[in-house]
Amino acid sequence: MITIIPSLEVMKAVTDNNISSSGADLRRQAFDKATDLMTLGNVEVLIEGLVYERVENKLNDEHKVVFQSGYRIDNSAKGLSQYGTTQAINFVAESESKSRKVIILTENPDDFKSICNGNVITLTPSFFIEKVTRAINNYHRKIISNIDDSLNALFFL
Amino acid sequence: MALKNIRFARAENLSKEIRDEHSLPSEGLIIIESLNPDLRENFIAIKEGGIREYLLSKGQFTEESPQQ
Repeated sequence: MITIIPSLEVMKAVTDNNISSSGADLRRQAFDKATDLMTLGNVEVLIEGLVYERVENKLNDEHKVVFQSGYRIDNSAKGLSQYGTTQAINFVAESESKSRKVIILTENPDDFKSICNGNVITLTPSFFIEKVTRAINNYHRKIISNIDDSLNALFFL
Repeated sequence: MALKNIRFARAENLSKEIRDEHSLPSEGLIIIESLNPDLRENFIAIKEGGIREYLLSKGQFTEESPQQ
């Protein structure tokens, strides 16, 4: 059971009109891979509530339906005035890690290093794409019998 | 017609009848849209442009952030 939490810069790359850089392209591809994994294994994509709030003003009603019904938006940290998106992701990831393995997708791993342990890891978009591609290949070649084991072996062992 | 819900699915898990009816590929990510008021489903294959391309098919984003 794995929960993938995209950070604000990843969500901005998905929902921003200015996306011409290669870095933004990698962030978008990583988000697509995470979405793909939801249909391949026991994987959820959790969008932290403050992060969602930061991109929501760019979305029309149909965009909002896509995020609100397709992904898990977690409002646990919403309303805490002293919390920014980084602190909110830290809080939600730590809580989530009590029941599932957690991958934080971020360009700034240092922002989350205090909560990284056996159940929480941070990955940059490029590293995530590389690992997920390998996990899916291992699964398709039947080196590992199911995608969840393949992901666990690559990310958490 | 208003979009009310979406679900992610895999083409390979859908029946051949559904894939043929909606001209879907045999593999890959599919978005199933629930629309109302006349309650029907659209099946959309996600291509290389990914989720962003799908979102843009629903309209442009309304605000720009500084160049990344």
